[in-house]
Amino acid sequence: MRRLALLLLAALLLAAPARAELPLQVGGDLGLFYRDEAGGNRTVLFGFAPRASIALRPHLRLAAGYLFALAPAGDAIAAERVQHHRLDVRAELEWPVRAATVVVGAGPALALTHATLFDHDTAMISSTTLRPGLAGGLALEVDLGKLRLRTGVDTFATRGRADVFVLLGASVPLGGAR
Amino acid sequence: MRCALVLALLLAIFSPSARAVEERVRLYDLSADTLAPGQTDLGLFWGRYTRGIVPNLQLHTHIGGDALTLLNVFAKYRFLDRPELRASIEAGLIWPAISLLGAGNGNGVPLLLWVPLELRTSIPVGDDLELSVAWIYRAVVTSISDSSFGQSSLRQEVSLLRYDKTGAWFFTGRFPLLVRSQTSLKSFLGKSDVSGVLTLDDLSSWGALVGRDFTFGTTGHIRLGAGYRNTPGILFYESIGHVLVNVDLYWR
Repeated sequence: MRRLALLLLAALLLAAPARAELPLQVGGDLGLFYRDEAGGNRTVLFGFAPRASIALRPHLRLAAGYLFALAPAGDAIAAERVQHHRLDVRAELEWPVRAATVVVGAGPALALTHATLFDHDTAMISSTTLRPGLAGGLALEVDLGKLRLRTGVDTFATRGRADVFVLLGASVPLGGAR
Repeated sequence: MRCALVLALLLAIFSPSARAVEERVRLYDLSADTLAPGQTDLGLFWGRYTRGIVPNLQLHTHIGGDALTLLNVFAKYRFLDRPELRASIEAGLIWPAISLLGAGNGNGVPLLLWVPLELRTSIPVGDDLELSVAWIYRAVVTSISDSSFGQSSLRQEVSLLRYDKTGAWFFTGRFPLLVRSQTSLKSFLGKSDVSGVLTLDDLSSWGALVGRDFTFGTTGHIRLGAGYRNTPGILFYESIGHVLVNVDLYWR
C-alpha cells in the first residue's frame, strides 16, 4: 500500500504541468507566530517574514526567508521586550493543481532570541540565544496575473522547542519574462 | 495501515472527474459564492433565511433567533470572481434585544454583542473539485454597569468540496488560531480599576469533519457530517464531547 501511494505521488508530480517559472520571486508573509514556551504553552505573536525564491528546475525551487516577531511584556515600570529572528534556507517542491500550487519545503534554519529587561525605559539586562534547527512548511499558492498569493503553515524545530507560523502572504516576480 | 486506508478512502471520494458543477448542488456556506439575486435558501434549524439581493451580495438571518429577541443579520459579498480564485467577505451582528431593558439604568442586565467576520476564498482544483480556505473572526462583547468583558477568537477553516449530480462531499479541517480575553472592572472592590488582556493559542482544539450534502426533489438538501475535535467544545454549540456533528435540512 505504501509503495502504491509513493508511485501514485510520483506519477502525479510528473504528470502535473509545470507552471511558467520566473528567475526570482520576492515577497513577504504576515501571520501568527506561535512561540513554544516551556511546559508546552505557546505565546501568540504577530510575525512578518520577507522571503525570496528562485526556480532551479521545474517543480523545484530554492527559497530563503527571514522571520521577525516582537513580544512586549510587563508594564511602564518593569518592561520586557523579546525579539525573535529566524533565518532559513530551504528547498521547495511544487505540485501544480489546476490554478493553485501546493508547495512543500524543508531546510536548515537559525533562530535568534534577544530579550531585554527595562526599568522605566532604561535597558538594564539583556540576553541573546542562538539556536540552529530545521524549518519546514506547507503552503497553497495561487497566481493572479503576476501577483502570487499564498497561505500556509511554517514550523521550526530545534531541541526542546517547535515554533509554528500560520501565514498569509504575497510575492511578485523580479526580472525575467513569463 | 489505518492512515493509508483513510487516505485511500478520501482519495476515492475526492478524486476529480470531468463534470462541471451544477448550481443546484453548490455549497454556498462552504464556498465564496453567493446566491443569485432573488434566489432564496431556507434552513430548518433556527429558520435560517438567505436571499440574494444584487449580484455578489446576499443577506441572511436566523428567523428562530429573531423570534426569541436574538436579533441577527449577516451580509456576504463576493468581491473577487476570477477563474483561478473567488473571494468573499461576510460580516454580521448578533444582538440580544432584551439587553435594551437594562441599558443605561444600572440594574445589572448585560449589554451583549456578537460580531462575526469571515473571509473566504474558493480555489478550483478540478472541474468538480474545489478547495476553500477561510479565516473566521468572532468577537463577543459584554458590558454590565461599569464593567466589560470581551472575547475574540480567530479560526482558520480549510474545506475540500467534491460535487456530483446528486450533491456534494465535503471534508473540512478547523484550526482555531487564538483566543483573546479582555476584562475591565471599574472600582473593583471599591479600590482601583482593574483591567487585563490574555491571549492564548487554541491550536490544540483542531477538528476535522467529513460529510455529504444530498439533494432531493428539485430544491431540497439534507446534510450529514461527522468528525473529531481534539478537545471537547461547548456542548452542542461546538461539539458533543470529541465528536463534531453537522446536520442540516434546507431548501433552495
